[in-house]
Amino acid sequence: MRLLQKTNRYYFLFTAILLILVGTLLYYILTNITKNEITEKLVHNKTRIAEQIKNNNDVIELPPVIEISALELFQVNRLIVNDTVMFDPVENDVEPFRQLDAIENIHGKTYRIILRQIILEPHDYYNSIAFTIITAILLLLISLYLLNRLILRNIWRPFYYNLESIKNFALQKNKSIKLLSSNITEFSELNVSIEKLTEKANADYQSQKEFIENASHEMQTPLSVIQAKLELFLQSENLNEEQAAQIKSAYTSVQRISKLNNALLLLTKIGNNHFVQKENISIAEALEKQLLHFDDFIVATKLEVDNIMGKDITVNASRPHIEILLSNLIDNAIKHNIYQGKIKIELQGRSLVISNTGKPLTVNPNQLFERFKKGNPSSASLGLGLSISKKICDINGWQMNYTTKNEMHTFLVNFS
Amino acid sequence: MKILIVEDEQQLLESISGYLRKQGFICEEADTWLKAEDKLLLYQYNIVILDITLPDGNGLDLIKLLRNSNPDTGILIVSAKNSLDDKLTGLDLGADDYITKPFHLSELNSRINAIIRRKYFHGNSHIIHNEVEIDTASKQAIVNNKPLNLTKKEYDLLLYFITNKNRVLTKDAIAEHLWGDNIDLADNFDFVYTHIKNLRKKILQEGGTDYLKTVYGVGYKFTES
Repeated sequence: MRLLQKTNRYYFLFTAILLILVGTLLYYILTNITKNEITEKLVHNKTRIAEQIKNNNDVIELPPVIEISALELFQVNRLIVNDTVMFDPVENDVEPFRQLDAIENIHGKTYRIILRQIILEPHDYYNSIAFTIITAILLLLISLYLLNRLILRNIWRPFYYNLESIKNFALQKNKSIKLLSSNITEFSELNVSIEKLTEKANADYQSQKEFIENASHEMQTPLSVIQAKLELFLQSENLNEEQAAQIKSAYTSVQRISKLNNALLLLTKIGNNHFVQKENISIAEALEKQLLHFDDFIVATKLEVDNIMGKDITVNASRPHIEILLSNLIDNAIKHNIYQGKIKIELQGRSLVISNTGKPLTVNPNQLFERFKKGNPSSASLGLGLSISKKICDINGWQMNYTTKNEMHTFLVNFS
Repeated sequence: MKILIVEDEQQLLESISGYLRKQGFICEEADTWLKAEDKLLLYQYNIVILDITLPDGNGLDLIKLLRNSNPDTGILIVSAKNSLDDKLTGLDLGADDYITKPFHLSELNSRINAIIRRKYFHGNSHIIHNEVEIDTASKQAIVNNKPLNLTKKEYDLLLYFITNKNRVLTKDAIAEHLWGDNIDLADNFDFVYTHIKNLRKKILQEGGTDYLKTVYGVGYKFTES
């Protein structure tokens, strides 16, 4: 629920309760005022009638409104005012009345004067008050809704725009975040904080990346020296078999480090957006070329390659990106395959789908694209291929995902 | 053939010139930009091996200098950065090839030979080793005057062996030479073995000598006899 909706809900609830309270109060005030007014009027009328009787004037009786009777027995003066209900012939219905019942002794005679005044029934009060209150609440609701839209469109617009910017913010892009300024204190304070935070994150990320890059570069030269020295050592005439094998294993390890180093450099380079020159590349053509590279491996493991080239996909990207991506995916499909297994390559719409037969996964599929996650820990593979592929996809805004079904492993790259 | 090696890392410089001298090249060394400039202005070289990241200058400038004074000299760039930009600029400026650190000395040698064939024999050279002959123009191997029916990989392999005669070539170096360093298939040594087996068989079929010796646990060697 949006903040505005939430606050409005409270406002509305509060106002509605308030209005209902006001309505109830109004009801009591109104009934009281009218009751007092009517009582006052009845008392006045009784005084006037008593005056008339005193002056021996005829007083017209008008039941049930005016009833006067002379009493046989003497009674002391009294005055009772109360509410009653009785049949009104005019309305032809039972109606509520305010009634004044008085005993007056005039010229030694005792009179009983009963005056009545029809009053409004309680439900009449209820109805009119309720109608007013409900109308007020409805009006409130409509105006709140309209106000909401107005506020959302004006005051909250920078907020939602900025929220979208934050969602799209990525350290790899190395771009400072663009925020819409607002003259609302909270929002502008938030903007300042976000800008500071992202700048800091960007700077930290860059220095981390530079560190990895520099470290990798610095390692290349000593590695070259070790490799060259070992290679020369291997050429010595008087090495025995055991010595040669030991040098060879050191040599192979150096190679492994340098490959790892190169792969890490490649990862940072992709992150740096180093391959900037973009061109239109046919995926089908690039695939064909890459498959040729792997021919030996495909033939040797007797893999059946099912190449379903649908409609070709043209992608605007840098060529090294595409080559590395395809090479890694094919490499992966071969490496994790079984003897006489299958590889299926398909172009569907804007997607490239590469599936291969293989043993069930031993790592969590969610960690598949992480660095150094390997299906087989003892494998000589570096475990960087898939994270390099993922990085290439991320940088270019492509989707890449992995699914598995019936011992078939499928990687899908969506180029749109 | 005279080669100038420009490399600021003394140890690497020695290794490179050591290896290349044994292959019959005359090598001179320069470990700074200034020394390299001096030598390039004073002498002529057939090939310059150039590390472009030097402490006192950018190696790319040396390419410009060299291209103006000696356009025929072959240039092989060595870089610690596997950077596409450097590679493209270098090749644009007129370098002939590009190799990234760390590299196999045998690979470096094979690249130098390829440049020499291209530059000085216009790709039209015949490499002859006893009864084995390679015609680099038609990419054809000949044994006892009979052409061998080699696959592209087998041809590359034979050329690689002959240019690195009498050298122990590790399986790693061979695999990288054949498939490039982008392919990270861990157990590609079996494929190296398969190619070598086939190559050997084809040479023997035409009455050639088996020059390909297995160096146990290490790799292979193309021997003199």
